[in-house]
Amino acid sequence: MHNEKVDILLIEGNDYEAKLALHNLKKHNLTNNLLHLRDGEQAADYIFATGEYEGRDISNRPKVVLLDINLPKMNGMEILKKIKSDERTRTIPVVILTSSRENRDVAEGYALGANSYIVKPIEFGSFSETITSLGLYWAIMNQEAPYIPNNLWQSISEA
Amino acid sequence: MKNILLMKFFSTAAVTPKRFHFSAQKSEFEISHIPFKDSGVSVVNSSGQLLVAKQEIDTIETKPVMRTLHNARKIAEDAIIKNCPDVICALDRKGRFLTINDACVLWGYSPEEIEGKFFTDFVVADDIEKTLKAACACISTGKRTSIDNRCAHKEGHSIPMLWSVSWSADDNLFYCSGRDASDIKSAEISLQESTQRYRSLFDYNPDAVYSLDLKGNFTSANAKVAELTGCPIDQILTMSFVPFVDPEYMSVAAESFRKAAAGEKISYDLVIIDISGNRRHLNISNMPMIVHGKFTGIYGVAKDISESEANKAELKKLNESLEMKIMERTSQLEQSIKEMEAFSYSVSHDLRAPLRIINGYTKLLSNEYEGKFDADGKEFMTAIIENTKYMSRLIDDLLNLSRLGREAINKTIVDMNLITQVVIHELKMEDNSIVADFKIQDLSPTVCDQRLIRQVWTNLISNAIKYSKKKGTPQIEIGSYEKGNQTVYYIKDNGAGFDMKFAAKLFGVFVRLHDRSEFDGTGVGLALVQRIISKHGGKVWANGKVDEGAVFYFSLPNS
Repeated sequence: MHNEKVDILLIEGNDYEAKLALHNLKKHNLTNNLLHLRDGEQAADYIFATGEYEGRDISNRPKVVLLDINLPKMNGMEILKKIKSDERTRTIPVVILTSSRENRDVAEGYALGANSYIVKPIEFGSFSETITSLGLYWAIMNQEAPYIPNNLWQSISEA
Repeated sequence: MKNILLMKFFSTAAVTPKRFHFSAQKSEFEISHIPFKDSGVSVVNSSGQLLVAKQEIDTIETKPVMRTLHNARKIAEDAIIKNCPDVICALDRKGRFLTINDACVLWGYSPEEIEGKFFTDFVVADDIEKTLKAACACISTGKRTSIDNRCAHKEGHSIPMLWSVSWSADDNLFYCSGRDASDIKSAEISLQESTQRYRSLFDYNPDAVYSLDLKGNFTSANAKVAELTGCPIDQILTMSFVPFVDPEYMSVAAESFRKAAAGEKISYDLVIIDISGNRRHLNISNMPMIVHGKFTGIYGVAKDISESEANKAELKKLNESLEMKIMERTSQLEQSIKEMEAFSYSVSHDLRAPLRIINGYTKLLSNEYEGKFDADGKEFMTAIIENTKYMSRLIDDLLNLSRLGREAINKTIVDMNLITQVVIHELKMEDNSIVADFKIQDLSPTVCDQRLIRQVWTNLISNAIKYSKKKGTPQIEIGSYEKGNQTVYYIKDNGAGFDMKFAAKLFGVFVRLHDRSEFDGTGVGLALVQRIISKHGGKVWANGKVDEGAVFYFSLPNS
């Protein structure tokens, strides 16, 4: 059971990278409601309240998902597709945060409904700035979408 | 002269009734109308007095007129004989010329030289015997005989003659007329030659040549027909074409024969089975045989294409296996490309991540534990940070290079003046320390991929700036000129230049002619330039001298 409020869901397969990101976010007090998950399956379970997260309140949604593409078990694109094709979760902002600047990844990400696509800068200064702005923007400045339960969606679409 | 006039009258009067003047026996006469069948003749003297009138010949009593008329006829006959172009002569039983007309000039003699002499003096020796035989036959049968022989001209050559000879038992004389047969002979010879030529074409034709009657029976066949069928010609000539046709091709053959028999000229392929059971591929051309405007049969030529058919089959097999090979190779190639793509993908993703981590943690160390490091320690960390940055650029450049190989080029008309200005402006925006003096000529527009050519100019111009930075006032000149079917663009600087012995290496990947501490760079820029230009069908080259600057050229085809 994991029902604490999560503002930023960081899905990052590499712990070292995650730590660098967390280090920056911490400086700006953005880590209080941050959850870091390491693999794709675990992330999906969290979002959809399945598996080890069964029973979690699905309406308790992160303000943003920072999603890496290369992940163990289930890759970032698959998770993105799952989130964006489920009415309960598709309004959750998903930011792809990756090393890949390959056109096909960028194109696929947007096609699947990513809200933003950020290439992680290699140089630490730029990296820090990017992560900090991302955190500030999505967790603090951005107004999150209200959660609309499944049955309500059905009545909306039937109307 | 008057004789000729008279003859002319006789020959034309039959056709065209006309008046005609002549003088005979010192008198002037005028004859009119047709004198022959119906005795419709009228003879008028010079003073207009009617001497002989129509149908009055028998009743006329004017004897001098009759005599005159008789004389006129005699004169005409003499003239006819004398002037006849054929040789007319009489010979006695022994073959002696009694009389001969002037036509004997044909042999180069006058009548006087011939009369009294034997024919054997004038006939070519080889032909004497057959002439004699024919003459004997003429006497014994009493019938008119044709003889053809050669007479000897006075000057030695022989003249072919065609004689008509009759024997008069009453007169005990041969009456002969002979005609120069040179023309007939030469026509005969050319007919013979022509026949022989066609015969040769038939006999020695490398293809089978034959004719069929309208029922499909062979009426002629050359040796090749015998060779292809394995049947002797005399046997073939008793057969129709049907027994030779491969049953599979029978309907084709029958249909084609029907068409040819309807007068159509056709060509088709056919398989026959020879007498030993071997199949042969033939290409048949049938054409209608028309004699005296009448369709009498089919003339055909059959070409043995068994070998070329076999070659075709072999070729087809080869092509198929080649196609298989190509497909195999293509799929191998596609596989390699996929692997390459996977590789560059993993380079882009997997190598960047650890670099970022190294860079990040080092930065954290130097920022947050600054006090704990001495000068050496700080320098070491700077080295780590700088090199991770450099490696990151290397990766980016390499990826650009490999991506270029996969990208299609998108050609449009590009204003090179505009592009170079934009590039220079951008470079100056990035680095406001640039003080170079640019001289840009009016550049020819070209057809190319705008984005890629912009990359070329960016690399070349930034190189020129970079390598002439150490000069007080870097001078950079950009221009273009036409060369053959290409436009050549160049950029010239007064910078560090290079040793021409390295000219060939300049455009290689990771090749650097200067130390990184002197001029920064990854050694991919010019390789990228070369790849872009060669993708456009152009060339790149450079001239330079150490410390005296360099000129880089690239050409683009005008199309």
